[in-house]
Order: sequence, then C-alpha cells, then structure tokens
Amino acid sequence: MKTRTWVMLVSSFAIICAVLSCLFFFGGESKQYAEVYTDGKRLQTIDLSEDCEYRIAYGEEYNILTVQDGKIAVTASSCATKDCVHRDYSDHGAPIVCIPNRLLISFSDGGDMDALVG
Amino acid sequence: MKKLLLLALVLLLSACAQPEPAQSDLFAMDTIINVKIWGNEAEDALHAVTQKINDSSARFSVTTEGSELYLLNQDGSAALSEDFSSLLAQAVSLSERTGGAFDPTVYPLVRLWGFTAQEYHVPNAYELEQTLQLCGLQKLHLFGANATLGAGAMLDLGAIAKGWTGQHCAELLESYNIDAALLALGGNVQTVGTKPDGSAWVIGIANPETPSEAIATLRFTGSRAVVTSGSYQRYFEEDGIAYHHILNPQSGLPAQSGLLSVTVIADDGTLADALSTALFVMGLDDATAFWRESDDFEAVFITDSGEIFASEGAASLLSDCVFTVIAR
Repeated sequence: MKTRTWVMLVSSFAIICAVLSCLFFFGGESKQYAEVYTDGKRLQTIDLSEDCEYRIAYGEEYNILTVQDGKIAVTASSCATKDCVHRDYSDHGAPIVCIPNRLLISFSDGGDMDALVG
Repeated sequence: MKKLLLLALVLLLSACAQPEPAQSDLFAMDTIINVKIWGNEAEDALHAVTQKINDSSARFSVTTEGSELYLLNQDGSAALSEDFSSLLAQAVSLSERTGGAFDPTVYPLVRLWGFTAQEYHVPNAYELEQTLQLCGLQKLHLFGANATLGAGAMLDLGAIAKGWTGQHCAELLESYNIDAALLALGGNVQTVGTKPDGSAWVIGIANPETPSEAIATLRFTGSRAVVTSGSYQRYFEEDGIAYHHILNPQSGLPAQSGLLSVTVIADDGTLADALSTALFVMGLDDATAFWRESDDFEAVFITDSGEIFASEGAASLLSDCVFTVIAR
C-alpha cells in the first residue's frame, strides 16, 4: 500500500475520532437512565425521562420506585428501616440502596468519580 | 514509514478502547459492596475476593447468630480463628494508640442506644454509668488465640472490620495477575494498582448535608485506603435532637467534637477504618496533634460549620473544594 493511502487512512480515522468526541462532549442532551439491581443482578433499565411507577419484588418484600421530573426515588418499601425511602429524588451521584431488600439503583451518568466515601 | 503509521493506528485504536473490569455488587457486612477488577485473571480474583468478603461478613457480624463474634459475645470466651485473632490484635493496638478514642468494647453502649436493633433509646445518666462499667479494653483478655471477656462485656468490630477486609482483599489480589482493582465497602474504599488508562483514581468525599453527592474529590494513583466516618451516616431524632452512632467511649454519648465527618487516607485499610472513628471522637484539635505525631496516614476533616481542613499530605490530593491546609 502506498504511503499516501496510509496517511489518508490514519487521517480519516483521526477525523472520525474527533467528530465522535465532539458529539460525545457537545452533542444534544443525552437521556438519563437508572439501572435497577436486586441481589447483584440487573433487573431493568429505567428511562428517567418518562414519569412512571415500578414495583420491585424481592421474595415477599417489595420497593416502589417512582420516576418524576427526570429523577427517581424509592417512595415505599416493606423494609423495616425505610432508609431507602428517606433518600431524596435523584438522577446522579451515589446509588440508592435498600440493604434489607437487596435493591440497588445506580445512575448512568456517574461522571469521572470512581467511588464515594461517606 | 509504514511501520510508524501502523503503530499510530494501533495506538489510536487502543486509546479509544477502555477495558471493562470484572465487577460485582454484594450485600454483605451490613452494606453494599462494589468490587471492580481489571486484568487477565480478573474473574478468578473476583471470585476469591467475593469469598473473602462473605467469610468476613459471616465471621465478624455482631448480630448474625453463630458468627465468631456473636459466639464470643454470647459465651464470654472463645478460641479464635487466625483471621479473628489478626483483626482483634490490630483493634487492641489501635485502641491503645488512640488512647481509647477507638474502642472495640463499646458494644454494650451501642446496644443501650439501640443502634444495633434500630430500636432507638436515649439512656438516662444511671443507665449510661452502669453500661460504661462494662466497657474498656481491660474487660478483654487475650491469651494467644483465646479471648475472654469480663462479665457483661461485648465487642463490636463494626468500626474496623470493613477496613480489615478491604486490606486483606487487596493483599489477596497480589497473588493474581491483575492490573488494578477498586473495592468500595460502604464508606470504605480500597484501591489496588493503577487504572488501565493510567488516570488517577477519583474518590469523592460525601457531602454531610447531601450524602449522595461529593463535597470534595481526592485524586491519586496507586494502592491506598480511603475511609470516612460521619455523624450523618446513622442517627435518630428524639424531641428535636439528633443522636448519631459514633459514641465517645469515655462518656457513652454521641461524640460532640465539632466535626461532621473525618476521611482518613492510608496505605493500610485497617488503620484507616479505625482512625476515621478515633479522629472523629477526638475532634479537630486533638486529631491534628495526633496526626503530627504520626507518619502513616493523612486526613480530611469537615467541621459542623461546613469548613474543610486537610492535613498536608491530603491537601496535595484534594480538589473541587475550598479548604484549609493543616501544616505539620
């Protein structure tokens, strides 16, 4: 293959990467999602742009998840402590957790943070 | 020329591809634990770490009937496993080093306040006085691999067991061919190695006002433990007063030290876990003096007025906030 062909190939690839990067960083508003896990297994992905209510069962136990105005919260739970219900509506940040019912709700937009202590 | 161009192409492709870690979320040790491991033997390492965490959860749980700790508290004496002996020896050592600010014998007080069963109760002075007599390191007697507790004395390893587990998982990972790992055990984080893309680990410190969000960020490379203790993590309210779960072993009351949280950064996870509680109990001035006498940890303090103070070493890692540097 001629050198010119290689140059064109690499240049094209670099341009595609640049365009994709621009789309990623400056593109239109991306949808926000929440991933719902029970006992470590992914149960479903929830689109936060649509107001809705979900009942997540774990054996005899349950949590009610409510999506409202682009955010999600646990609005009812069969657990004793109700710590999960006390957490405000969220669309980012640390996962919402109900330890007794083994429920975890994490957000697609985790930013560049690897973990949160506290 | 062709070789150079090929190399450039490969580099471009590899820069765009981020390797996916093997990962798992576990409900253990009364919290949610997230493990991520990068490298050739990541799946095998994840399996081994999961076993270690589940083993620690079963061994050190103060409430699980039949756990090693439960049986020691119930029977008043026990022959200890190697892991339990190791943890208890470090707990005693750190309790002595901190002048009792960290104390593994406070379980009678924790129960009196109802933090274990979450049946909360504000004790009166008589109850506190009686219960304080059951606490203190002098109630714990270690003879080799055997432990005996004084009458009514009980241990709680909740302020050190997650740190110990994170540390031992990190050591376990050294025997596997992995590049990096991140273990988030509730408020405890243990990093191992450097991320595959070479970037720094980014660890947020929870905002005491809105704990699901970060108030500051620590950025570093390599293996470290980061642990936060905060009064907002567990508390109850009665008659308009908030009572949190970090008890001062001297008074038996929730520590009123002027702090909302303490984050400790150290090479050793066990040390970081115990010290985060101890420094919270000490308060900013005593904790600063303690840090100046030490060389094996750094700390970030958030006061109840919302100010952030960072020891010199922690300050070099801290960003995304306004803070005051504590000089050595």
